Amino acid sequence: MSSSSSLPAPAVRISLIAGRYLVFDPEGVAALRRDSNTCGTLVGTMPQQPTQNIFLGLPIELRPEEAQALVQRGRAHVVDDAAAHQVAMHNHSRKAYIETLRKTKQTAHKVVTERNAQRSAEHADKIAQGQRKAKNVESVPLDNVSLDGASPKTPSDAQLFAVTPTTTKELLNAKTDVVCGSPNVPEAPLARHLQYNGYYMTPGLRFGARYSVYPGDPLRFHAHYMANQYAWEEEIPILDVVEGGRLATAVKKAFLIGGEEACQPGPSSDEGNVRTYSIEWAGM
Amino acid sequence: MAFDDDDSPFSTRPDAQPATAEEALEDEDVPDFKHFAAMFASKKGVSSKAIRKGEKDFESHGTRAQDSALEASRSAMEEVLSYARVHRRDTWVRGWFFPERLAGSVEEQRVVAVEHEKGSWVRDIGKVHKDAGDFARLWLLPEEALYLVERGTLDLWWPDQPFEEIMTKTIEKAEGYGPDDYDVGLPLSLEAAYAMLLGEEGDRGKVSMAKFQVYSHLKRGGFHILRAPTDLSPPEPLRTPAAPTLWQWLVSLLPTRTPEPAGWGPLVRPGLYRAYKPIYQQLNIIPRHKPVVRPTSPPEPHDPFKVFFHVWKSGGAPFSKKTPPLPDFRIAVSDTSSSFVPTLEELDALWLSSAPYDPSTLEGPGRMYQRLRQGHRNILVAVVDRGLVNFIRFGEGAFGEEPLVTRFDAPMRGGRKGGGGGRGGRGGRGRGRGRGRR
Repeated sequence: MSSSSSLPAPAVRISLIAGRYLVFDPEGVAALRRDSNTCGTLVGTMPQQPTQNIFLGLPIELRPEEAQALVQRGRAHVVDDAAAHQVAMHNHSRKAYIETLRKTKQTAHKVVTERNAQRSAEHADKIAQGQRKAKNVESVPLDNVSLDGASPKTPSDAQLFAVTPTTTKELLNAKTDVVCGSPNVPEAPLARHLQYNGYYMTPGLRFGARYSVYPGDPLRFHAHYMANQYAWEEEIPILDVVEGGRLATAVKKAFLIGGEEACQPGPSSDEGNVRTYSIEWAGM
Repeated sequence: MAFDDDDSPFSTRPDAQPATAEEALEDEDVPDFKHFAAMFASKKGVSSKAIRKGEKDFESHGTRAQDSALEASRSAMEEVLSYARVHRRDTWVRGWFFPERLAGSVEEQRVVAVEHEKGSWVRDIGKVHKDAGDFARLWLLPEEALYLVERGTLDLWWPDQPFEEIMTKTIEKAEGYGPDDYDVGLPLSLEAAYAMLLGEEGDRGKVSMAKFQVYSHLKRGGFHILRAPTDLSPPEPLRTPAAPTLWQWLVSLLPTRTPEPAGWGPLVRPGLYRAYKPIYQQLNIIPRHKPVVRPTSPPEPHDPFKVFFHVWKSGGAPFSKKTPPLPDFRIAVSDTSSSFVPTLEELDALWLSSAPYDPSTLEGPGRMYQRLRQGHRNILVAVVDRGLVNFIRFGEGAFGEEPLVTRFDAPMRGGRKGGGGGRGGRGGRGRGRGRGRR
């Protein structure tokens, strides 16, 4: 689609908070999904539907190896968010933030007003229709109807009051950001390799492997592989293969293992020398 | 095994049959946002657009139909995620971030003071604390404040004026003091709230991400949840073992004729036995675990295997945070990135220090497995894996409390199994079960 154009997208800001890699900005989340085949895990309570655990909202949490791969590809940078906020709250270059708050409030107010107006109009319409369908059509005074419909939702200046933005990006600028280096985590060459090659990954927890690997956006496609990473010289217990193979087959996926061969001196691509093998269950 | 053929891979090829189990699992994976789309119907004309349109595909086939289906899903999802939290006048609740105000007091973990609390959330959130300056306010723990901000209930502010001044203005309802007064402070974004309220394990006034995720997971599920009290007096047993009846007591006075095992010779002394019990008693040379009703000096639990939350099911009697009833669940929180399966010592410390003696009340031989499963003490350990929350229950099992011997010696019930087959039948059943499990 249009998103895969050649324009380099601005790096997405990953907030490092309490050891976790989080993305709050909905645009950043969309960019990661569209341009860097990374979806992360939604971990926040959804304000629209706060009493369920099936559909969660922002922020998304990235695994450290995902964040690492994104930083190495130049698609994101990691920021120590607590430090950034401490700085930002204490200096007084916050006019922009207040201005955005004001604007957001106005927009939200407008939207709510319009929606309420529309709703009460529809509501009044419905009542009017319903009443017309009822027996005494003529005897219903229309004034009353519209009043009834509108009274609980009357848009007024008093209704909308305050806004909690999702991100603080207007307050935090590049100057106050304390950029951390690439996440210092144990190498995850397999995850990096798959990400470089356009695969999407989600946690493989539910299917008994480290990653579920998708050929495209998980919104549209089924996973093809359940993947585990091994070190190049690591002995792989045969039962691991049986286990992984059985679990993956049970959900109609192939079991994928991969590892990185020690780098030879000389020019090497930044995605390393990763070899992958897929294992299918032979139903003899 | 006989049923192995049933899960032959050939019967579950992608094109063989509708993928029911897989679909169900994947549905868990990818949220279907169409339930919310209706909320924005009038906002930007998203109408009833669903995030997931129809069945998922196996792979990309480069068709425009597929591309547009994906694009529709993505934009519906982006639409849902770009929702901004707005507060209405009638439900506006403002909290102020004062992390240092209660430092050093008993409530030093509470960092957010609420201006005027309203709403049913107050039932199990926050605690009214009167501080040195005589301002009694509802104070929130970091996880409580963050959860409320995230669900769109609380408007959290960063103060630019001292606590006394802000509270005085609140009480006196000062002129112009309200959501547009940016001289007193700044409203914090969700991101800022995360950055200020989350921290490493043990930071004062902060909560770890794993604990916060467990807290909000349970709150979303409708549970009442409070931090477990920090004083570690072992809880009283929920029930004590029944006192022996007079008859049982008299019997216990009779000398039992179990011979002490000799230090040599066969384990079971040669002789004539008319029941299984004396034989098994001689075989019983390895001491078995017996749950303690009141531990005298329980070992001290350590993080992460230490009860952090007390949790109550919703419903039933109205919940009171001041005088909560005995919790339904006691939960310790662990993180896959930093902890392993607890050792027996860690579990012992966890059970004895914070779970009451609570054996099953079910009786009779038919309920044995239920009793074993419930155990004598119970703890839930929440396992957080990068945002996904799972729970494991650890129960203190006591197989030694379930003697099977008595059943072998029980008088036959004639007629049910046909005459004479009693003893042999029982023995046979026992063997059969053993073989099946092997």
